Amino acid sequence: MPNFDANTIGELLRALPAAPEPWVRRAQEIPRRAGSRRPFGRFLEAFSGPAAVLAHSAQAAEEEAEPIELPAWSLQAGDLDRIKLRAGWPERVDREWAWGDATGAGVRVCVLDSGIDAGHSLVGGIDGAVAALVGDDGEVRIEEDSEGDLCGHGTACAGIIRSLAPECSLTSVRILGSGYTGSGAAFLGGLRWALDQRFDLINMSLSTTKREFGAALHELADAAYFRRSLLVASAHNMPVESYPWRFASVISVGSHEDPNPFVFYYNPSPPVEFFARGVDVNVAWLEGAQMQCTGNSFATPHISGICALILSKHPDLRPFELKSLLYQLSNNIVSA
Amino acid sequence: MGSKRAFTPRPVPSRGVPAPNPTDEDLVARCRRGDEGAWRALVDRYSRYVFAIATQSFRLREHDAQDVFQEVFTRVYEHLDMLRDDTAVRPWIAQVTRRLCVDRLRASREDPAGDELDLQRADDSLERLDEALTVWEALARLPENCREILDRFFSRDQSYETIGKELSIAPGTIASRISRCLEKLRDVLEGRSAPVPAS
Repeated sequence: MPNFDANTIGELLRALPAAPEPWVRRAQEIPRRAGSRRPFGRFLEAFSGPAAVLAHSAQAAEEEAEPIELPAWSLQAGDLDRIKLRAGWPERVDREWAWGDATGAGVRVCVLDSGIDAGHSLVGGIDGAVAALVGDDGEVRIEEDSEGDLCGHGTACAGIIRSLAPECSLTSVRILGSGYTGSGAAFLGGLRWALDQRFDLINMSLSTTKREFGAALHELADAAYFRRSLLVASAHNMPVESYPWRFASVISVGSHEDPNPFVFYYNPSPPVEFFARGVDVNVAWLEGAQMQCTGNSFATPHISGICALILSKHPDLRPFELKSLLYQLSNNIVSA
Repeated sequence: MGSKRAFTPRPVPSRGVPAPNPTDEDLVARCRRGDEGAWRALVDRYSRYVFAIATQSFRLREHDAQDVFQEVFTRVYEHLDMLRDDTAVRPWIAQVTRRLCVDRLRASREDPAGDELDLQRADDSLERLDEALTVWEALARLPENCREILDRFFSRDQSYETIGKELSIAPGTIASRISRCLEKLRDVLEGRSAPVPAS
């Protein structure tokens, strides 16, 4: 402990000047930007800041009257006019052409997440489950997974995809643990494995803020794009940089407030390219439970489910064609 | 129709001394329960510290420091549930800030060889900022009148005349009041005095 004479105290007090007021205010508003509803009083996240889960029980939902702040990178309802776009093409495809009578049959969907509870009534079975485990040597092993879901997040995503594409094939790649977090190595290893399996579609309701994984994820995202594996990735719920949703080779998803699961919008002001239903979504959770959740994590499987429908009817579409199709079918695209 | 705020943020005092505060442990526990007032208090308590580490220890440019400042508090907010020891929030925040500053420096440097020297200097100055935070925390435990006068004199470099005018105190009594308040501050710093209840 130093000698606290007047000079020393003066120097030490001056050593910590006040931070700029707008900086402090912005940091103090982080909970508001993250949304007010937090499951179990906590903000769930993976990889140091992913597409987090903002959830609450159905009962709490009934008790809460106040609307919530949307996750970051989302669409405010009042902004619908702002994003209205005109399509200049002479003919347009419509949703009937895109996915009329489709069920998702024949489409292999991978859910890269916390595992899936295959026995949940909203999931209705899966076709495989593996876990990406990091050994003491730092190497990633892919093993058959019989743990199911460790925190509920993956089951929630799987249930949403199933609700839209009831006959698609679902496979779980578990990379998150019970604390809603996982290692970057497991993330990369799990994604690599999923690419090797050539899934048609990979749902990633998660992201990492760690830049050291950014370059490797970028390479994998581009590899997926050329292999015709569609990556659908959540934007972070906070206004921070994270990956892989920022990459142009993936389909990135934020939230809107409309309760219709088939309503989605193209965002003319990327980086997030599409908005889907992500507020007060009824989802499957652990032990057969259902919850109402809010977050970009739940908007993402809505787009995945719709893409599964499209691919089941048009299996030869490449990722860029599918993204273009989503653009044309977005609810904010109007005829010229 | 925009989405409404879930709560109304209180204005942040433009400057001055933090009011007497609960312990870090109390604040962290309240933050976990979703107490946004506690979160604001936590940010207020550590904003000077994080700001000083970024701008003084690591000498980040303003826009880098601003990014790091927000990222530190975002990570603290997101990871609060994973903090094993609630009394350790201070070293944890220091560590998160240091790590993000290092990342930012390395990302902006073409020649990473210069990093180690800078890091050593930065780590040395962290110790001093830690002492400074201890003094600020002790200051926050003093009665309001002492906090005000010490902040004005030492932190804001105000003259006896300005302090006397703004606080309506006879200039001749300011020196003795500062002296008495300094004594109280030393008592708190050296553990001879119990914290004063919030005013």
